[in-house]
Amino acid sequence: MSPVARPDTNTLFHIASTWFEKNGRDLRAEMHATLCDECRAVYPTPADARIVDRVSPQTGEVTRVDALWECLADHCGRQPEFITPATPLTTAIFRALLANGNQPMSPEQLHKRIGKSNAAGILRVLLGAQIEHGVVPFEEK
Amino acid sequence: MASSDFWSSIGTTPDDVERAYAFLLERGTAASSREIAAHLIEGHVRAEEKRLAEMAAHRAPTYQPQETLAVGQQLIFPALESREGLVTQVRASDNPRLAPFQVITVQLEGETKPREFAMAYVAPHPSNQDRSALAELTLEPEEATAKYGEVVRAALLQQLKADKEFVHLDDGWFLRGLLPEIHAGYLNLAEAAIEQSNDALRTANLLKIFEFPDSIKQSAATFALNLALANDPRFEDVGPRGDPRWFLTRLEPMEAREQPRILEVAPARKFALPSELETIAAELHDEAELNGDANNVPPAPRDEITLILTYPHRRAGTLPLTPAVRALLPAFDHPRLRLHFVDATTQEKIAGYAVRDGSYLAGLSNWFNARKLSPGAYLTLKRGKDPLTLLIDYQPQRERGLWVRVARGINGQLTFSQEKRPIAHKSDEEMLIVIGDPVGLEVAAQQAREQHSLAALLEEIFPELAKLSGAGRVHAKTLYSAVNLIRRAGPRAVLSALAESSAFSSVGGGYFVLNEVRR
Repeated sequence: MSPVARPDTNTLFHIASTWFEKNGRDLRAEMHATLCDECRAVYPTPADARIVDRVSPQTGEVTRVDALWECLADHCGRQPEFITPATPLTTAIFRALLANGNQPMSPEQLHKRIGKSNAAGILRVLLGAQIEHGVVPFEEK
Repeated sequence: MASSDFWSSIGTTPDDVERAYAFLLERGTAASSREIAAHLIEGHVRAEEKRLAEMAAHRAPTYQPQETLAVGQQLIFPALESREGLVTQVRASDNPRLAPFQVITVQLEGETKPREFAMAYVAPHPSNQDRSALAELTLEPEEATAKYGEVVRAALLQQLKADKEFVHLDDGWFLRGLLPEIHAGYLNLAEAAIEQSNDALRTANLLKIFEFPDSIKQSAATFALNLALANDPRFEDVGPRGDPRWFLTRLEPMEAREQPRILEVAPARKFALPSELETIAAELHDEAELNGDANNVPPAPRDEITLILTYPHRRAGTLPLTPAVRALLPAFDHPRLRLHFVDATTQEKIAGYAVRDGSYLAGLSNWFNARKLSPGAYLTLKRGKDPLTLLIDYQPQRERGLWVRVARGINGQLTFSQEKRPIAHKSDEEMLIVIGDPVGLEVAAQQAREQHSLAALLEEIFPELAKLSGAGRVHAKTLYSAVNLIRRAGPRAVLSALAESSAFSSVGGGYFVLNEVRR
């Protein structure tokens, strides 16, 4: 058996789409539910959101991505009301990863982004018995 | 990238940490964060100069998402390490959420697969900022360091502190991997050597004892030893800034390790005094007004200073370390500076300390006792030939009986009487008070700490002093000296309470009388 590194506050986590499939949940529906009113007007249902152009905020490079991810990363996720002090911790973690385009984040980074709890507290939540919103340790393939 | 972003990004990236590592590795000796920051700035300025020169040589425009381009156009992509690319196709954008723009297909040099980029894109984008705005990059590295060095240094320090490869002592930074091992045996030798000499020893002197192999670089050995000594509680750097000298903490007197309780004072407020009292306060050098930091006020350059001994310092064997006194000594950053007082008459050397926290000089108990000095005695401190010496002198006179104020604590109350006592030194007449009963004074001090405001204390003490004067007048300095018998207080605090109290009136010359209703 290969040794398994014990997760710490620098371990990367992401949203696993397979978790949603296995648990009979619809990731795109849950993503759609987090859209702001403005984006929901553009995409009234998850099915309306198709593959669109996304402009990299750093380089200007254009890539083709799911419109829901594009909205969350480049618009809704940047609104102050997307994550507020009143947002429950597990929801805030999920939203932080959505806003980051599901690029893996560590508890340290999540803490900086959501400004709640602390890195160790977030790690405890992420390693809790119940996996919330499909957020699991990221394993590079 | 805006010019300000360019400068504020230096020192924040893993690449810069690597550059700092390489710099220290090549140098082989410790460097200050300022030196490392200057090195990084120079590297970035040179790289940016090269980039600009390359762009100029290519004569290709810089890619900006807002501009409109044609197929066949060459472009430089600053955000992609200034690589060059050729526009091969143009298409319309596909995103209902965004205002329409165009998408160009670009074949970048060194890549097989084309990429796409936004064109005629009107939303704000950092790549739209004109990189030629970095005209400030025409700055020479030295100018850039002068202007942005502190910003870069602050960012760099955060990175270095978080990286275990780097070690630091004060602001000297070095690489852990280059440090020779300083094992416990070396430290035990150092302890024995310092104890034998009974004086602080320089790092170089200790290294001579160790006889390190020649293969170990002297500078690396010095840094390693300084670091090991600094991390061992047996040792303390008691040297001036930039000149570590190591002494044993167990050989340091208690009054240098911890501020004597009798010197403890509440934080001082800024008081605006009438000009006459301000002149008096300025003459009374008292560390009680510094709020613990003698570096707060820039000292006036001078080679000697005359102090008037107060009771708290007489009891503690200390003197105030005011900015003027500190100016007689080399600068120091550590808690203590070990020095020697030299008796100006006998040339006797006495080990002493300048103590940063509490701002006082320690080590004079025996010297005060031997000269039977009373509070009010004049003392002179003079800069010595060796920077770590202070010449100390008092003003001796033939011992004779003088009528002086004598202080006692009776039933917890501070009382004064006029008595004939032998005095063998010159003193400030207004401040001279002979201690009749130290134990009784301590009891009175205990009560004063628990019960009285400064104003109430003055009202209690004043009549006691006034009864010794025919006209019922008491000088402000006498009150300051008397208050300090039972309560540590700076001159401005005492004189301010005096000036603000309705119980007293000034009669000029620094003298006060008790108002009629209070008599």
